[in-house]
Amino acid sequence: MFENFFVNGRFKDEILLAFCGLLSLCAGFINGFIGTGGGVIILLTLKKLHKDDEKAAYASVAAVVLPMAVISAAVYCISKPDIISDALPYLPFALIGGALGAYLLSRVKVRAVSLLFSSLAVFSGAAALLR
Amino acid sequence: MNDVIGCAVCFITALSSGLGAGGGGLLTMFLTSFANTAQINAQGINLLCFVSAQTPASVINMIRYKPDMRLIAFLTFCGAAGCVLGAVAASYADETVVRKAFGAFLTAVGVYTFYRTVKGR
Repeated sequence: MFENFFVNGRFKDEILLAFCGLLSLCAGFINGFIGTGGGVIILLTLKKLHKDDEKAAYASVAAVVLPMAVISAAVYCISKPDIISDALPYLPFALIGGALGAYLLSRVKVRAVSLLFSSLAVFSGAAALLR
Repeated sequence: MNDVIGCAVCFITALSSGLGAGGGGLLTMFLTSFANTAQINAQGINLLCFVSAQTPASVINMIRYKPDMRLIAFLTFCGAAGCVLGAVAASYADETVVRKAFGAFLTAVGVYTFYRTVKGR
């Protein structure tokens, strides 16, 4: 996917590399600070790097965001250990939902789901701001 | 009753996450608004649920699409440093500040995603 971005295993453009690293740092900070949202910034970063293969870009986003979420969750659990016991009842549902979503990815229209969830995100975000 | 609804919200947001449509912040919103969970705890629960939901999807997608591991390693390294800074900052910050930041970001991402989906980009 990124073969044009590398030359002999090295990045072609150091400025772009530094910019993308900075964006990733910001994505990580937001992910750690509010517990979500890193994926959107990583997606914007990857879109800057390559525009040809959207599905591979989404696969890369997932591969970057997952370890970021693990690290953020680890820091949260160290500072507040009761989070682990509070989260336990939800984890099987998250696991089944995530696996089902990945299975359905090529079978359903993601556009409708995306519209619904972005609308809910605006509503929930506004509610959190106004509380 | 709230536990049952919470599990349903978790399942639906995980499903959406697996589909690549996002939705991770909604569980945090439900937990803080309806289950009287503190903002930081809700964010931690949301992160653990995200890890559970995203692990199978990530493995499937990485096998299927074989993304460039050098780029992933670089972005992950930079992101990891930010994660530690952000999570430590959240544990020291005032809960209202974290909630307002969460609300502002969720609203902005919602508007951006809605616009991008409508425009078909």
